[in-house]
Amino acid sequence: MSTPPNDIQAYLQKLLAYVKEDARADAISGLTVAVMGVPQAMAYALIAGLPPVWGLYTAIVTCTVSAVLGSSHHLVTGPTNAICMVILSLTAHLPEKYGYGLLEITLLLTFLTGFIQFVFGILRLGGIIRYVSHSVVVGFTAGAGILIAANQVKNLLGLQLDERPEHFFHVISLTAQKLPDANFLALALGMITAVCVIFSPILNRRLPGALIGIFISGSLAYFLGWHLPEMGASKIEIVKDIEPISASLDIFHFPQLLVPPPFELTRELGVGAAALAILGLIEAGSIARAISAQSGQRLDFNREFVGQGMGNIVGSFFSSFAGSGSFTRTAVCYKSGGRTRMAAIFSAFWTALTILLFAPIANYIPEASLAGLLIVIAYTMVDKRRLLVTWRSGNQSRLVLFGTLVSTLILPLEYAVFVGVFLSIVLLLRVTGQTDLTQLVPRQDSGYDELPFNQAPESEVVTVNMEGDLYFAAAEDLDYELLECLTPKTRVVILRMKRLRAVGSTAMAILERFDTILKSRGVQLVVCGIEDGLKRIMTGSGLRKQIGEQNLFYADNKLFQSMELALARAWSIVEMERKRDQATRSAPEARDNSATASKIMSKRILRFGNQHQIREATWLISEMMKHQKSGATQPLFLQGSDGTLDSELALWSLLKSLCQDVDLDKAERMTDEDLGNCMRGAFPARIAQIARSDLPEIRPETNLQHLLLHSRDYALASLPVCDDSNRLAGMVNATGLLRGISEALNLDPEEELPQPNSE
Amino acid sequence: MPTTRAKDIMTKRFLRISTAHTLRETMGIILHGEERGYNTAAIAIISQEGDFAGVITPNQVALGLLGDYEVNDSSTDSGDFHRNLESRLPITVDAILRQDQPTVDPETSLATLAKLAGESDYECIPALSEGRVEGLVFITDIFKEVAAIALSPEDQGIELGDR
Repeated sequence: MSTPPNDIQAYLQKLLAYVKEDARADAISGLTVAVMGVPQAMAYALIAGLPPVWGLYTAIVTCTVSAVLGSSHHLVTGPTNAICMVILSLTAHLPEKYGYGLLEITLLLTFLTGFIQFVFGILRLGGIIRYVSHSVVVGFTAGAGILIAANQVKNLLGLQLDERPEHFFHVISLTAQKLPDANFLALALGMITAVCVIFSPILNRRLPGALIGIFISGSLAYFLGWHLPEMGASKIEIVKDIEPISASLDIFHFPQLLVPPPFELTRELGVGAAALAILGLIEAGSIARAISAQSGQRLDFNREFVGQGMGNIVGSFFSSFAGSGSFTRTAVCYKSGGRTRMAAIFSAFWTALTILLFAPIANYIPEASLAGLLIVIAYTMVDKRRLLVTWRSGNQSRLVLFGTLVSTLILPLEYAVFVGVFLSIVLLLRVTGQTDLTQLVPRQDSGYDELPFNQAPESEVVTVNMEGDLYFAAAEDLDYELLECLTPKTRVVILRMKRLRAVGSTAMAILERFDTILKSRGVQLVVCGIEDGLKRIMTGSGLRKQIGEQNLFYADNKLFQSMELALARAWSIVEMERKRDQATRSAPEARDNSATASKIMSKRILRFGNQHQIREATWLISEMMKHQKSGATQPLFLQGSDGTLDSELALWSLLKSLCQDVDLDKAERMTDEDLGNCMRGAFPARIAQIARSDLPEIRPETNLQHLLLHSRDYALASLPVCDDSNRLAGMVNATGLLRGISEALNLDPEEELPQPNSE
Repeated sequence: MPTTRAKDIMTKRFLRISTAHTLRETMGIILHGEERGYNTAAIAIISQEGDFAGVITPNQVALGLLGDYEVNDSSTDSGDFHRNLESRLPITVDAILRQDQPTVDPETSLATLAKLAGESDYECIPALSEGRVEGLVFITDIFKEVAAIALSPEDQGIELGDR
C-alpha cells in the first residue's frame, strides 16, 4: 500500500486495485498471524507481570500504528519475549517503591520508550543498528530465554513465591525452595501445551500448535473443574484470576503519570526506557532486515524507527505496553503470503475480533498452559547453532556474545542491553581500527605479487599496500608498524594508499612522522594511489609539501598505473644514489697517482684512413665542424689499412699545407676567391705526407705523470691512446690532463675559482 | 668576391683573466667553464694596465704545472710528482705565456689569418685594436671559412677504393 496521492480519484483507484489484488492475501496472512499470535501475546504479557489481555491490546494498537507509519511490508509489531522480560526487570519493584500502580508505571515506561524511538527516527539515526553486532542480539536473546524459562517454572508448577525475585539466581533459589509445593495438575497442563507446541509442526507445518495446546489444556482444565476454588491447593490459576478479559475494545486510557510525570520515577525509568528503545529498535530493525533480504524490499530504517516510536506512544494511551517486531509473527506473515503492511493491520483486526468473540473463553486459559508455551518459546530463543558457530569463530565474537548473555543473567536487563551495545561498538572499533598492510613485489612478467607484510625479499625499493580505515584508532601504531618493513638495503619506501578509507588528521600526523624518520635514515618516501579526498587532506596538513610533489602519484582509473610511475621514480632515486656513491668512492682513487689515461680520455675521436687526400680530409673535418661550436682544435688520427694507428694530422698542419702557396706579404690583398684557388692546389696531396707519425706509445693504463711528460716531450696537446694491438681506444686532451691533475691534487674546480676582487 | 676579415669570424665573447692569476685559478676556470659549456680553448690574458698580454690554453696550463719535472728512473714514488705539481700551482700565468703569439687587427684578411694559423699550433689569433682585445679568431673558425671557400660542390665527399 503506497503513500496516498493528492488526487482523490487516483487514491480511490489505488484502493480498488489493492482490494482486487492484495487484500485477500493480506487478510489470510493476518489471520494466520493472529491464530498463533493471540496465545503468544497473552503469554508475553505474563512474562512482564501484566494481565494477559494487555498483550492482546498491544498486539492490536501498537501493531496497527507501527504498520501504518513504518516501512516494512511484513514486520508485525507487538509483544515480544525479550522486551517483556526487560519490562518485568524495570517495573517489578517500582509499585512498592513509589506507590503507583504497575499498569500506570508500565504506560509511562511505554510512552518514554516510544518517545525515544521517535526521536531516533526523526534524527535519522536509523543507520545505528547496522553497527550493533548480531552476536549481541543472539547473546541477549539467549540470556532472555534463560530468564524467561527460569521465571515461568513457578507458573508451570503452580508455585506462589513468598517474595519477588531480584535476579536470575534469586529466581532459581526461591523456586527451588518452593518445589515441594508443586502443583502437578498445573504441570500436566503445561506439559500438554508444550507437547502440542513441539509436535504439531512435525505433524503438519500449518497446525497452530500453541492454539491447539492451549485449547486442549484449557478444555481439560475447564471440564475437569481444575480451575474451581474447590480444588484447594491443587487449583490451577486461569487468566480470569489474573485479570478478566472483557469482550470490549473500550481500551482508551490516558496515562495518569504522564501529565505531569513524577520526576524521580521518570528519572529512574529513563535509563530503562532508553534500553528498551534500543532493544526494540534492534529487534525490529534486524527482523525487518532479515525478512527484506528475502522479499527484496528496500527498507527505510529511520521511517521504521518513527513507526515503532509512534506505535508505542499511541499504545501507551490504549493500555498497551512497549512492543517491538516479533520474529515468529513476522516470519509467519511473510511465509503465509502477506504482501503489504495491511497484513499486520489485518492481524490486529483478527486479534481484536478474537477479544470480541472469544473473550469469555479466553478467560479460562490456564496460566500453566501459557507457562508451558513460554518455556518452549524460551528454549527456541537460545539459538544453539548460532552459539556454537560464534564460539568457534574467534575470541572477539565469543566475548561479545557470551559477555552479553552472562550480563543478562547477572545484571538488570536494561544494563545488559547497554553492555551488549558497548561490546558491539568496541568490537567494531577493534575491527575497523586496523589498517591491513601487505607488500607488493613486481613480477618478472608484469603484475605484482602480494605478500604478507614484512615477508618480501630484501630490496632497495619496498612497496607497502595499505587497506582499510586510517582514522585515529587505526593510525596510532602505524608508523612503528611501517618501520618494520625497512631493511639495511632499503632506499625508497612506496606507500600505496588507494584502498584507504576514513583518513583523518591523526593519520596525517603519523605519516608526517614516518616521513621524517625515513629522511633521518636516508630513505625516501614515495606515495601513490592518492584519491581526491586523500589529496585534499594531505594538502591541508602540509604533507604534500613535505614529501614533495615529485614523489606523489595520484590514482586514476587504470589499475596500478600510479604505482608503476612511483616505482619508476623510486628506481631513479636508487640509481642516482648509486652514481653518487660511485663518484664518491672513485674520487679518492683519482686523488692518488693512479689517474690513468683510461679515466680521463675521450672516446670521441676523428679517425681517417691514411690513404686519403688533403681535399677529402678538408671536407671531412669541415663537415664535422659544422655541428660544433668554436672551440679547441682536434686532430685527425690516421689509420693504416690494418686499422692500427699510423699518424696524427693537426689542423694547423692541414692549414699550412692548404696555404703553402699563399704569400704572407700579399695575403692582405687576397680575396677569398684568390685564397680558394690557391688552396685547391694542395688538394691532391696525400695527408699521410703531412701527418705526424712520431707519436708516443700510450696505453689506457698510462698514468697521469707519463701523460704529461709525453705531452711536453712530443709537444702534443692531444695524445692518442691505443690498445695492445695499436688500435685507437681514445684520446687524452689538455682539459683531460687538467682534470687528472685536479683530482690527483684533490682540488675542487668550484673552490679554485678566483675570488671576486681578482680580475 | 668579398674578402672575409678577422672581424667577421672572431669570437667577441671570450674568457679573460689577469696576468696575476695563478695556474691553480686558471685551471679552476678552465674546468669550471668546461662543465658549463664555455669556450675554454683559449683564454685571453690581460695585464694590470688593461692591455693584451697573451693567450693561454689548457695545454699550456697543464705543461706549466709540469714544468721541468723529469721522472727519476730509480724512483717509483708518486710523491715527487704530486709535490712538483703542488709547488707550481701558485705560479702566475704571465710566467708561462708564449712569446710568439701572433696577433692581428680586426681588418686582417682571411688569407693572412690562414697563413698565420699554419705557422704553429696556435689555438687562436687575438684581434687587437689599440692594444685591447676585440676578439679571438679561433683556428677552427678559420678552417671552417677556408674550407667553405676552397671546397666546391665537386670536392664534396670521399673517394672509396684502393689508391
